[in-house]
Amino acid sequence: MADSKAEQGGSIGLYHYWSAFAHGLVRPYLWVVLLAFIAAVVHFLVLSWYWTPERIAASPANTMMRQSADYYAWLTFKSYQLKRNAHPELGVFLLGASSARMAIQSPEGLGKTLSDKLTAPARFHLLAAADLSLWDMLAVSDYLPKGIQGVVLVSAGIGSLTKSLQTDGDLLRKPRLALDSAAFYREQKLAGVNGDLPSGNYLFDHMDFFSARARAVLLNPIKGAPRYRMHNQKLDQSYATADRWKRFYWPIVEDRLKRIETAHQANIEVLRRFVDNVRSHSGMQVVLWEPPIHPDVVARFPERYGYYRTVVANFAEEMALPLWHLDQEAGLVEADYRDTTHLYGPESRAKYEQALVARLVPSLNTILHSKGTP
Amino acid sequence: MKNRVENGLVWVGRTLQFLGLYMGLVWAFMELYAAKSGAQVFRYAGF
Repeated sequence: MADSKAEQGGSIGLYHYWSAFAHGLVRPYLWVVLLAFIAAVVHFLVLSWYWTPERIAASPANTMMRQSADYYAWLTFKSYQLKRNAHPELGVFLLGASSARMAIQSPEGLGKTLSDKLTAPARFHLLAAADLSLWDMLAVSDYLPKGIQGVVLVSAGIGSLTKSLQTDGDLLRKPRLALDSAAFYREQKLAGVNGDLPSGNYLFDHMDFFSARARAVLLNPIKGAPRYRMHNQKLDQSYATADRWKRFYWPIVEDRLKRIETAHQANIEVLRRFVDNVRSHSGMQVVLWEPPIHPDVVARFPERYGYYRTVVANFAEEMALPLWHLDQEAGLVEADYRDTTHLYGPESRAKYEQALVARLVPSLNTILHSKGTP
Repeated sequence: MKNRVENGLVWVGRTLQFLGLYMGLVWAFMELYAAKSGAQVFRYAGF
């Protein structure tokens, strides 16, 4: 009897404690609500003070990544780091979309291979993000380091040459990369696109970038940022299914190739400004790079694909640019392609890297011997 | 003693209320901004 009373007393005590806690948690308390509002405002003020280009350049590239494949956040941070931490080595910079990322197994490994084959240390920089437009690449080109020697490979893929203001204007209006780039602002002006005028405050100027990453802004400082994942193992372990080809890849390729005739001219002009920007700012050699392309695309759309290649070749000739299409040199066969333009896995990428090194070594040697070691 | 514990628990509750409100406000502002802006910040993300 006494035990049961004590038990009853205990549970009533627990109930009181629980109810006191719940009361504090749920019942709005004016000061708490006011303080929360003030804290939220202060939070934004602190963020706007904290996030500066200098701070970004000094932070790890994954700091603001929403998930491990947030290549836009990664490329943003990487670009700022390039400008700030200019490495004295020979530099190779590959700018492109996912096809560029999936053609390379390891930028660090590639840099080491190049260093071994050359008489000077070299570093390979992969500056790629899904569906990167030439506008984005132009913005990144503002961040290429000055005063070093090297090669800049720029993707002239089908995807790059078929962007248009009608279909992709948002990429120019509201860029995916958070870069302060004079070249990019010029593109907006040339296209008559009303981008927000830069206020000088990094956070507010790139609020689209940050607001899309609310989870990263709030939780990455507490639980750590996701690790940058260069290759997706799931993609690497499976070919695109016939159904996926039918529903996804063929319509995209067909649509893009259909648009090439009308869209290429404006993109070629952006590419021209890219080349001029790199030549005038960094002095590095520019190479036009054609991403890998599945032989079926060539076979299925011979005329349109031929037209695309002519456009690229003419531009390369006009600008005196080397044009690299390495599929044959790499000995790629159908099994090396996961889909239209992405290579399948480490072995396919190793073949591709070998062909790339074979092209890069003579170019870098020429640069070294014509100007002396940097 | 009991009152002091209860009071303490009320303040623990209020502190959590504050943290929840504060984080929620920051989060909600960013989500609303992102939704209103309509920027395709993650177009083709993942590839």
